[in-house]
Amino acid sequence: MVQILFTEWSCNLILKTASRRLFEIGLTLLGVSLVAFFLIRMVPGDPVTLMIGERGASPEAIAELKARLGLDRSLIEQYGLFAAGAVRGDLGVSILSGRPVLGEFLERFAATSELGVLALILATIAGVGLGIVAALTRGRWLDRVSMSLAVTLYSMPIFWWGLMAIVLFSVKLAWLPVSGRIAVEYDVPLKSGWLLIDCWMMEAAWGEKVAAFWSALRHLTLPVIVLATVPLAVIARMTRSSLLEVIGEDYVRTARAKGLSPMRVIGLHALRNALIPVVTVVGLMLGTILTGAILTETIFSWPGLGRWLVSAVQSRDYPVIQGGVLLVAVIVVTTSLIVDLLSFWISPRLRDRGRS
Amino acid sequence: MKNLIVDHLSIRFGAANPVRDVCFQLDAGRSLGVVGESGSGKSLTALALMGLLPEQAQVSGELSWGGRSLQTMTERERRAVRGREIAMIFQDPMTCLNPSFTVGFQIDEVLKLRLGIRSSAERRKRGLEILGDVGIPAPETRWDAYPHQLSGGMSQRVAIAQALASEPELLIADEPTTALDVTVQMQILELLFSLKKKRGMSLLFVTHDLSVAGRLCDDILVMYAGQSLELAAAGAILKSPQHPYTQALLAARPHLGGGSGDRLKTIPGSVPRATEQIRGCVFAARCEKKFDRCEREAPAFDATSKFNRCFLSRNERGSL
Repeated sequence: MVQILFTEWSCNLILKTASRRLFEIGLTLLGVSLVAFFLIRMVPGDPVTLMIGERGASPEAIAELKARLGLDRSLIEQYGLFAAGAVRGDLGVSILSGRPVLGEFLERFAATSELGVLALILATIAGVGLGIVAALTRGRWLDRVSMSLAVTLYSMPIFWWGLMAIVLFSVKLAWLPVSGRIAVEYDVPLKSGWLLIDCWMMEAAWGEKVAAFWSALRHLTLPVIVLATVPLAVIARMTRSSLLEVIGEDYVRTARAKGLSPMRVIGLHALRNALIPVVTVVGLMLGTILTGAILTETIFSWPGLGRWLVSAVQSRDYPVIQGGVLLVAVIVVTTSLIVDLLSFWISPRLRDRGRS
Repeated sequence: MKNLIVDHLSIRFGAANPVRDVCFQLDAGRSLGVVGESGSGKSLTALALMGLLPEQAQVSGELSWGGRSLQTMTERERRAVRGREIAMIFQDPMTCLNPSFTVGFQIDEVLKLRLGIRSSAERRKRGLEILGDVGIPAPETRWDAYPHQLSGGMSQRVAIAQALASEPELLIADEPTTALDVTVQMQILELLFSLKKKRGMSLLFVTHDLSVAGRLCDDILVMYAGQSLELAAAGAILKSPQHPYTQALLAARPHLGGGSGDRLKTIPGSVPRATEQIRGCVFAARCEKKFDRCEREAPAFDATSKFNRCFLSRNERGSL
């Protein structure tokens, strides 16, 4: 009975938090749409001029093109149309390709998410592992080595380190491919958008499926590692300091006093509590990953969101920029909402504090 | 059942020497109150018995449990004793329970991993019985509660329950009521001592309250500045304390019925620091009865079951 009550309370609380967060999310998205819309229009140059080029065209032709793109209306009107469309899920069509922005986004997002999710998983596993090792060897050489490594990784500019990785592993050692998602000889039809999954779903012999998977994996290796470095370093440092703090807590001493194995004392009693702040940091790293993806995708010619947005900015493709930025913001706020709910779920104290 | 013998225990942290020389014996089924001011080394002595001192601590002397030396044990053997034969509860129950796990989980893991009870239904039944034993009303409703949902008194009862779940032969209670409200302090102490009697285990009760220890324990060990100064039966300590420090402690107790104008008696001076080198008796600097010899030479004593580390009690004043 009481157990039922407890869960019911927690559910109510989670609903309350979620609805408050949804309101905040609405405000955030409104802000992002305004900034994305107006900022790109403040940049010199407009799509029409760029399309027609330096040679120019008759003023009538320019006016006609502007009218077709809706650029002859006032800014307020243009924003109103964009916002009204966005609420209905219609983000317009790309000026350059003429295809719907949403469709292009989803295609590119699949490529970015494959890269980003794997990078985040790698950063979390390796970061938490490195942090634990450093905390347990505190003050000894292994701790110093792993923490210096973390600082080094954190300080390396992604574009430099990405290029160095290509020079070393792809050019000099020729272990890994230079760019792209998969070798050209494999034609994998996209279903989920993740090549690692889709290559198993294509109609081909087993041997070819395995070969395609292996090729996709090899193409992913370098960009994933490069993209994971900064989050890895941050997560490692956070895990180390959080675990060191928790190891000094009374309840860890109690766990030892119960005669539990060191494995259980550290791995369960200490780590469970030490990971609560780490979960929040992992959530924050999502933004870092998306920003990093822009650089990483440019370096490795990865056909993802980053490259898509960069080229849209270069050609002043207004619908792609405002729609794409808005969709990226939607992804960031939704995942941070999920991370928040997750930290509620792993911390009983947090669960109850919000209740009162 | 096993006896505990602590023979000339000393603990150093670099230059600091917070436990200088501690001796006592605790026979099976008996209760010993370890009394001293904060900084007297009583908690460190307790942690040394559990093998829970920080790594940098240097321990010398002999700790013997049931005839086996605790220090020469491997970490594996030590862990078999810790929490199983010797269990411990701590000062602040609110920080001693893991906030991320339910009460049930924390008791269950003792029954599962330390007692090796396979069936989870059997463990739950045993766990609920133990929660009932420590006076938790409606244990089923508390089984799935998290520590922050409990009051201080309830938390300490849970801490006692998880310590007793492994059926230890010796329970060390380190100031178990200091962090609790006055109204529940006595309830917890009465619970502890009644459980001790019921289960026939030995109890090492660390406290700074001489009168409480005197009322509840069989024997009392008085500690000061990292040394054990006097060990005697509780009645004897309260009626006729031998060591001048014990006498001063008793005199410093507030009395009911004392006039409102009466000032509390205090011991002048302050406790020597752990880094201080002391040649003579550790209490000499503050002792009303000291004489020359006290500051030059430490009173010798043999760590028999009862002792009093003072020249006066041995009539050794005139010998020099």
